[in-house]
Amino acid sequence: MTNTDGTRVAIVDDDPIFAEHISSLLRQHAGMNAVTASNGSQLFKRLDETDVECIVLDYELQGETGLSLGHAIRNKFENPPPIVMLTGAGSERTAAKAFRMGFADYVPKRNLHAEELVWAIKTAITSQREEIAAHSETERLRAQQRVDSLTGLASASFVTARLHELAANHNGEGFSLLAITMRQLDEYRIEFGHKIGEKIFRDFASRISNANLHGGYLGHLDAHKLVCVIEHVCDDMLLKEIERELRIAGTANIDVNGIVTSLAPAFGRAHFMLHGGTVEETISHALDAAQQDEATPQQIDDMPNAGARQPETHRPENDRRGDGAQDHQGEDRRGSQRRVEQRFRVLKRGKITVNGLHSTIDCLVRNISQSGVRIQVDGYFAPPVRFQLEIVGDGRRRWVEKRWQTGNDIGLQYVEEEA
Amino acid sequence: MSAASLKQFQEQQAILQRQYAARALKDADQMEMLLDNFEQGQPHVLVELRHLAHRLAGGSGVFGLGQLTQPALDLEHSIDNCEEETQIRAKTTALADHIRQAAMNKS
Repeated sequence: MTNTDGTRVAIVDDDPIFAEHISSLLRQHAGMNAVTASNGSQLFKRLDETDVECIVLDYELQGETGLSLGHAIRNKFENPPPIVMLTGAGSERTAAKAFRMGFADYVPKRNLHAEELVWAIKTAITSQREEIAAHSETERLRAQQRVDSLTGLASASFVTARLHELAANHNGEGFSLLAITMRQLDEYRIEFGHKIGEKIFRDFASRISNANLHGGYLGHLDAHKLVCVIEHVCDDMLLKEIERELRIAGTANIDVNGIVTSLAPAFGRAHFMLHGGTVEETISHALDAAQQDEATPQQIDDMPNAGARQPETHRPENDRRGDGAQDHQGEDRRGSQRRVEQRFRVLKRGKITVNGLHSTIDCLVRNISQSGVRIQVDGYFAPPVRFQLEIVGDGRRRWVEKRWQTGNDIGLQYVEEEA
Repeated sequence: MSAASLKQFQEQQAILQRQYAARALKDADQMEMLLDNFEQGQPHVLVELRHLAHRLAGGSGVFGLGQLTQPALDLEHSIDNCEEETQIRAKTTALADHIRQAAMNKS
C-alpha cells in the first residue's frame, strides 16, 4: 500500500543527517511531505515559499534554542502552524517549558518511534483545525455584534449594514464617509510582529475615538482601515474639519521597543451619490482617496483652522528629560528620520556574562546595529546595567549597557571595550 | 507499503547510517582537538564540545549506534554541571574511544 497523506511538514534540526532521517521516516510511515531547515532564518525562508501544516522543531539548535525560535514563529505569524518539539534533552522541565510556550506536543529523540511522531503531528494539525473552526464560529457570532472587539468602535458588519440601510432609503439623506488608514502599520507588523502591530492599531483607535466627530461615529472597516460615518450627505468642509480633528488626534510619535517612530494616519473623503452610487463604490472611492493621501500626506499645519492643537507625542524616557528647547520642527524631523542607523534582524545565540565569568545566561540576539543589539531572554531576567555579551560565532565578548527592557526584550548599547 | 518503496526506504536509511557513522568518527577527532584547546585555556570551546556530545546523545540511537548514547550523555552532563577538567577529559576520551570502537565493529 502506498501512503499518500500529503501533509506538509517543516523539520528544523541543525543536524542535516537527522533531519533527513526524520523526513524519510515521515514520508515512509505516513506519506508526509517534509521540508528541512537547519536554523531559524532557513525556516522562515521555507515558510515564505511553502505552506506547511506543522513544524517539527529541535529543542537545541546551534546558536539558538527551539523555544526562542518557537516564540519568534508565533510572533511573526498571525496563525502559525502548530509546533511539535523534538528533543534529545528529554527532561520534564523542557517539556513543561514547551507546553507553557504553547507548543502542541513534545517527542523525545532518543528511542524515537515513527508512529509516535506521526501521531503527534496529526493530532497537532487536527487540534489546530478544530481551534480555527471554533474561532471562525466565534468570529461569525462576533460579526453579528455592533461593537468591534479589537478597537471598541462600531463593527465592520454593523457599519456596512447601516450604510446599506441608508443607501436603500430613497427618501433619506444618504451618508458621507471618511476612510482612515495607517500608512506605516504593515511595515511595523513585519518589523515588530503581529502582536505589536495590533497594539499600535488598538492604541491608535483609542486616541482618535476622543476626537470631535461632529455627530459622526467611527467604525472598523476592514483589517487596518477605519471609517468615520456621517449619516447624511454633509458639506465637504465639515468632513475636512472632522479629518483635521482626527489627524491631530491620530498623529503621534510612538515608542516601539525603544525606537521612536512617527505615526500618521491617511484620510479619504467620499459622499454617497456624489462619488459612488452604491455603498461599495463610495467606500472604494474613500479608500482610493486615502491611498492618495498616503502618497502625499498633508501636514496638520496645512489644514484649515490649524494651530489650535499639536499632535500628541509619546516620547521615550530619555526624551522626557528635554530642556524644553525642542520645538515642533525638531520633533517632526526626528519622527521622519525614524532611525538614526540601520538595524539588521538576526537570530543568533548570545551569552550574557555577569560577575566576571562566574555566571552566564543564554539569550537570543534579535537585531544588531553598529552601536548595540536587542536581545531576548527565555524567562524574565533583570540584568545589571553593565555586563558582557558574547554573540556566539562572533568570537569576542563585548561590554554593553542596558538601555531599556520590556519583559524579556532588552536593548543594549555597546560601550568602550575594557582592557 | 509496497515492496519497492520499502526497499528504497531501507536503502536510504542505510546511506544515512553510514553518513552518521563517518561523521561520528570525525567528531571523535574534533572532540579531542577541542579538549586540547580547552586545556590550553580556551573555555569557550566547551560550547562546541557540548554540542557534539548532545548531537550524539540525541541521534546515535536511531542510527544504530546506541552504545554511544550513554557516554555522550555523560559528557554533555559533565559540561552542563561544570565538572572538573579531569572529569571532562576522561569523559571526552571515553566517548571518542566508544566512537572508534563502534566504527570498527560496523566495518
